[in-house]
Amino acid sequence: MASKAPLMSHSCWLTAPSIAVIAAVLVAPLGLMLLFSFWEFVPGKITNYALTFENYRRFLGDAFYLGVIAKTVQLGVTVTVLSLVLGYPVAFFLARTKSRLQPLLVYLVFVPMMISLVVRAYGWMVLLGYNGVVNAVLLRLGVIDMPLRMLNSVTAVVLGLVEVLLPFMVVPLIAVLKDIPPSVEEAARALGAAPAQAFFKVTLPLSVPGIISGSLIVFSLAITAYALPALLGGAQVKMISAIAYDSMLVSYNWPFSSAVGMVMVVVSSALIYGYLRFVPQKAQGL
Amino acid sequence: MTVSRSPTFGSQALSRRAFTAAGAASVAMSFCGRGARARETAFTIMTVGGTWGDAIRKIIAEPFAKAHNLRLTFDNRPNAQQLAALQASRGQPTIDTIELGGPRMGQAIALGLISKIDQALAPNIKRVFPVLRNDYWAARSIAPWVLSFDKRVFSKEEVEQRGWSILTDPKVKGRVAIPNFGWMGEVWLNSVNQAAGARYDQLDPAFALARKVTKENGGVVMISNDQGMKLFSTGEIVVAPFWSGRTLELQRKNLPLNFALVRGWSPYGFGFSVVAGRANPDLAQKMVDFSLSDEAQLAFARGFAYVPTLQGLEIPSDMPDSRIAPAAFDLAANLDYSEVVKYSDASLERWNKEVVG
Amino acid sequence: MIQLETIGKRFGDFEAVRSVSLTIGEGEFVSLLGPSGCGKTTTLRIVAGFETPSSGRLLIGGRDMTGVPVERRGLSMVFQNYALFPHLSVFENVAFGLKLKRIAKPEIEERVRKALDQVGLVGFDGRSPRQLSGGQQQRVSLARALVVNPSVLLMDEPLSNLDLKLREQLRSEIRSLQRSLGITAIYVTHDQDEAMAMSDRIAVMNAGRIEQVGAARDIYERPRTTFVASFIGQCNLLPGTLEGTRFRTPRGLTMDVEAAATSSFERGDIRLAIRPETIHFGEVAAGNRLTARVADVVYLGDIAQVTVAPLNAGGAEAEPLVAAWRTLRGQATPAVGDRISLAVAPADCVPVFERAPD
Repeated sequence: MASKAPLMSHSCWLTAPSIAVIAAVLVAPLGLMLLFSFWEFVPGKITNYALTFENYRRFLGDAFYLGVIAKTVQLGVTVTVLSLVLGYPVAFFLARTKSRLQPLLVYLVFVPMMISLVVRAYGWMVLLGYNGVVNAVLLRLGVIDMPLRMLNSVTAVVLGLVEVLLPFMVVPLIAVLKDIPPSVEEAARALGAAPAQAFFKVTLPLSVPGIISGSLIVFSLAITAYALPALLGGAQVKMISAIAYDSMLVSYNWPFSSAVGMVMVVVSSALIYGYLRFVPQKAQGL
Repeated sequence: MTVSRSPTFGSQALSRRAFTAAGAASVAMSFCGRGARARETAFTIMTVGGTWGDAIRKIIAEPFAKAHNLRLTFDNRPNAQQLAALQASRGQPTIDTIELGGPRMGQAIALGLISKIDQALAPNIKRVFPVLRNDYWAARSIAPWVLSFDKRVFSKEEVEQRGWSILTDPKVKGRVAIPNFGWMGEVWLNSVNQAAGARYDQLDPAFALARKVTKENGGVVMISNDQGMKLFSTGEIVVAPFWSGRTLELQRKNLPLNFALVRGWSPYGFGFSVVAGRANPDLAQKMVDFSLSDEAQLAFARGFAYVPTLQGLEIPSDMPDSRIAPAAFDLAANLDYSEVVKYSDASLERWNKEVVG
Repeated sequence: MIQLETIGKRFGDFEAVRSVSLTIGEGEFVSLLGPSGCGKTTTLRIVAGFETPSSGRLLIGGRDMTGVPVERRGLSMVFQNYALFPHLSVFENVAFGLKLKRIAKPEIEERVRKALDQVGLVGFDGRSPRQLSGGQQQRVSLARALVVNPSVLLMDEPLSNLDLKLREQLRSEIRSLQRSLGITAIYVTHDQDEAMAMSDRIAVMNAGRIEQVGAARDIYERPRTTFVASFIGQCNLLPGTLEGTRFRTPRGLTMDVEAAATSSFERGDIRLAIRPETIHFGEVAAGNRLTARVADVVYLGDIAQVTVAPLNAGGAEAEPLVAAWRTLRGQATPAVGDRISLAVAPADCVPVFERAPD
């Protein structure tokens, strides 16, 4: 990636229209949201435009909401770790296979992304439902004698999110793993490393940029997901995004909802900043 | 009626916009091409989609459009997003009329998103039962929100006698549900509360019941009709506040369900309102009038087992499900949604903390 | 000692290595030389243990290597792309193999320092491989391979990513290190100069087979096949048949061949290999004498490449030959159209097989 172009090169001006569009559709709404988050809420009027910190105080000064943030982060971490553990072997295989089917296999990783999230959530419902496939099998095997309630739980949300977000972990990993020449691993083998040692001492450290990119994407998407947690977690799994959604569309407290949104923006931005700041440029894989 | 069926609003909003644009383009083209069509007036109706939206299109919108030479556009989106969309296009609304009910109707009035009904243009409103209308809105049908139960677990007499407290019976532990706040929960809480004799700003009795159901009796919190129907049909739950119409639908599928109009049942009404700030509000007023007319009400009631709202309307004998004994209305909650929504924000927080948290 | 016994390797339908047999002595430097796709790298990777032979047997130090994984073969390898660990410093790269052997820290430091000294990289310990030039990277890679005291050093075209000057310099450095350490080495290259400059013996490979094994001079002067003769240096390859010690081309050119050279040849598809520099210009008393017409002259500095059309007994032009004319200051080179006399000693006329015998 070319990074250090002079600030005012002629070609720079060619990018002006797209930058203007991005500013208009991305930055302006964010600015509006920032403004809203400092306005006072009035039931039935949304706001009287008086400035206040109340919305932030209410969100960040309440053990309940801090608990929701903690639960959301915990969910994000769980989903990220599971995606990594499940996605790494897949990515490794896809990066290294010499099969002629490799492009097809990579394509298969993307296929689920072409199916509506809602449809996939319903798929999980069919599997995990009270009369679902999993319960039917367990009942038939005599493992349980009453169907288990697997839906509307954090477990269901984690399963669904891992399934949906896996490609976002696998794709950057494939890119990074493909860039590691097999000879590097072979050099380690020749120097006396067993296959596992070669993997942990060479391949794994070299794939860290992919692990970080993938984890960052998966984590950000997991903590901001709304639809899937709502469908698989029901009302009883409350994440930050559900709090923001309900304030926005149920109680019409747009200032509070904006404050919640801004906190999420800050959390995600902090993560990305940390990535850009502390992961060496060359290792970022950007 | 479907509330917030699919929360993927981003993409839906986008496709909606694309759809509107395409609609606008075709309108423009027809203006150029054929003089006869130029006299058609554009008219946009906002409702939820699906079966509900289709019924509105067939029973109300299309006959009305035909009579007034209108070119119809529909803005179908989940209830939860409708007011947000209206609020966002405030001052320049693209919608002529919107179907409302419950707390959303209260919000729409509070936010000034809808105009008063003009009784001269919509005389039918005067015929609606007074408790089912206000200056801005009148119910076209009511969908009774009742207590549904499995006949093998409880008798109707027992349910009628014990009322909502039956939800806390240890006998149904883990097999009971209540509606989520953002769905019918707010209506239900306020109805339960009114039945307990408390004020809108004092929801303690209702919260005490809801908390007991979820925290002590293993209650599930339902977020939609679909989920409720599923829970009842799989046998996962045996008792819950639910729609009478949907319960009857499940009955027809041979599920051993019944319902009771217990004290604090809710005659949840929905009807059209006139969006404020449109150039030609008279049309919307007439559309409200038409939607309240005898034939529209009866057609709707027949289709969904709902109850018409006109005083003195003769309900045919082949529609027993659309009749409610006058005595039952003595038990019904009579909510002023303008009052209800004043406490929405506080109640939502309390719900999150005490009931689902 | 490394013994390859009739080793073969197939990848699907493709036979990469066909029945390769080769014995490499203790401390010997053997090059596998051949064009790309000839099977030399696959052969090396079989020795390393990265590939499993489809047939045949490999012994290192008398031990059968079947089923012995790479890391237990006691060898080291140097790769064309250096294969340094980019996340580790130069020191850590070189120390990698020692750490795996759980050698004490002070000893590791001492040996790494010595290895870096051997390859002339004192003071580079803390650098990242990315900060080094290609030549420096390959030196690190060499140090990393040698520091573990391998019994065998395998090198896969280690110099082909470097420029000519550096290549020649590193060539002799590698050779002298290998000699002084007494390590058995297998060196894969497609560069005949490199192979000839460095090796005790060269195995010339073509299409999965070893066509000839021998010292550089042997291979150059006594090639056994047309492939070996043409791959190493320039060579005239005349078609024809051998009867007794007399070789006859289709256009009637006859050449006497030394009797000893004909012994292994039955009748069959053979060619006569004549190196351009073995063709003498002028009258000579003995050997094959020819009269020829100069067809083309290309001046190349130290020599001029002269293409001639020799005349057969009937006076007609026979198959063309290329001869090397040593240019000397002030002396005229033959000109196109000149009629000149040439001579080739029978010892310089080497009959070769058209194809390697199976």
